[in-house]
Amino acid sequence: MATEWKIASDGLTYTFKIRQGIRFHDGSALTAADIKATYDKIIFPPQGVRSVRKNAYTAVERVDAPDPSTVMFKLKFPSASLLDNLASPWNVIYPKKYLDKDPNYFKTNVVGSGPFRFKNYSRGSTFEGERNPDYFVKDRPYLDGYKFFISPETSVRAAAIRSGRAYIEFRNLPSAEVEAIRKQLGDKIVVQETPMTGEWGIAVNNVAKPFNDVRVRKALTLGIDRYSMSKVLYPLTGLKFVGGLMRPGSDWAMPQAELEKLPRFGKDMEKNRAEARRLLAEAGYPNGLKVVLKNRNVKLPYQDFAVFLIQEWRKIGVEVEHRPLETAAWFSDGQDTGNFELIVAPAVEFMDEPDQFLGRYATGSTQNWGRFSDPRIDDLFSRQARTLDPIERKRLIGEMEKVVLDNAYFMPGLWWSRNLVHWAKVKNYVAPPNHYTNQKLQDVWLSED
Amino acid sequence: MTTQPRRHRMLCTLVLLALLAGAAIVATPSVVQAAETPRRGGVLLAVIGADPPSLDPHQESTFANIELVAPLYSTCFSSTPITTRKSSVTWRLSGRLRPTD
Repeated sequence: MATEWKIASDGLTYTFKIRQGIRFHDGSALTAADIKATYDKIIFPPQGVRSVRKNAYTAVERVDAPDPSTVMFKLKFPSASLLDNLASPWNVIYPKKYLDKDPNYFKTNVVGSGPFRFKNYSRGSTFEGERNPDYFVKDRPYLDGYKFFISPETSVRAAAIRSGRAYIEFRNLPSAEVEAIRKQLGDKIVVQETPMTGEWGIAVNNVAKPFNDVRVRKALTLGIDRYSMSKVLYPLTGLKFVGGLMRPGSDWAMPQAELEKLPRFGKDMEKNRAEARRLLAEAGYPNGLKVVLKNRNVKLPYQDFAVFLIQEWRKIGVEVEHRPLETAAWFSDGQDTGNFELIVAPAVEFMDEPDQFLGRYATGSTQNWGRFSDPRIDDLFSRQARTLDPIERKRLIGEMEKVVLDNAYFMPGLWWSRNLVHWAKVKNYVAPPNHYTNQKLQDVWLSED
Repeated sequence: MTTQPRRHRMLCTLVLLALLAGAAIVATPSVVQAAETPRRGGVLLAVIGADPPSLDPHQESTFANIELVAPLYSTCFSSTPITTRKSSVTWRLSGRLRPTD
């Protein structure tokens, strides 16, 4: 909805012109005041309101709406990433009047201005939207509506594609399922495989026993053979690439040779496991220990990932009770409360952008599941965010990664790859390297029903 | 303070590169789709692996939220997808920004 923008020569003021004539689904006009209210909620959330990605906007001092068609972001320091982060698909615009009454209103209500209007949601069953005839983009959307069927079971979702009950699975299907579908349906099916801007790892509760002891944390991360994990889990889950905290192959990633010098990424697993057992004994667990691993009840890739971890940790004397939780409980009884010892924790973002990926390791971030606080990390995160020279920024990012990994504050697992499967009659959907962007469906059409 | 002019130049260069590359990328899909005329109507049937913990994308970080509600909303800007290939994991960020339609 922004039609143009201007960046002041000092890099401290971004001015956006907003398209006029856009209406929310309740009929009210969308103006710059709504955009300001939305971004105030994201960047400066009121007490009691969570904002998952506010660390991506540390450069912003304030947001102004001087007139109905102008929004200005005033910065504290020039930012290398602000434009990228303003393009977040998560930053949907809300009408100010509802936020004024209740900033949590949109947890249970929808008043958007998108190509589709909310139609129906039946928990555990379906979610539907219908065409918005007043959408501000001329002649869009093409579709009359969309309908999602909900199932945590990979086999059920794959069967839905095979039978034609569903035309697309936006997130991912394992390559074994994809091959079976392709064999059955041939050219009626299109598979788009891309890398994925996401990693599966393990968050560790750093503030409670036994993982407030760095030796125990190091032992567990040393005990994971990530190279074998990739071979075993790729066909089942798409989990594939060994890497650090930025995606392997991306501009910001630690070079593989450098990564392998870190003890827990070395390939000599006998040596790693011996060191893990030594650390556990030194920490007071010569006979190993028992821990609980919380997880999400979604099979792909959470459950298979956990099964592999449990087998790996048994080899160093760590017995794991696996406790899968429904999605809402995985957040409310895990991430939100810190009520866990270990919990499967993905780090997925919509771009290979350091502020997005690294903000979760800063003190107090809502995505800092492990609740650790290290002033070196906070300082390096802050410095990289204000460094415009990409070479210097990458150096700071590498330093920050080493602090996180050396202290095993978070245990990386594997970076994902994406198999997007859809019927060939679904047209004009290009799969980006994650399932967060390009989800508006305004340009998607069906060549037949 | 002495680094400010260099920073400004770099920022301007980044933004310019973003705009130029964005223009090139936006042109690509229209070429790919040129042979087919979009058909109107129909309901896209999809399948998803979880219920949303809430409907507010600002407060959530799961596919189970954004896949379901993204079509209901607008954003100020969007990032444009680039077709990526199985053999390549190199994916540049710059040039992916463009004003929304």
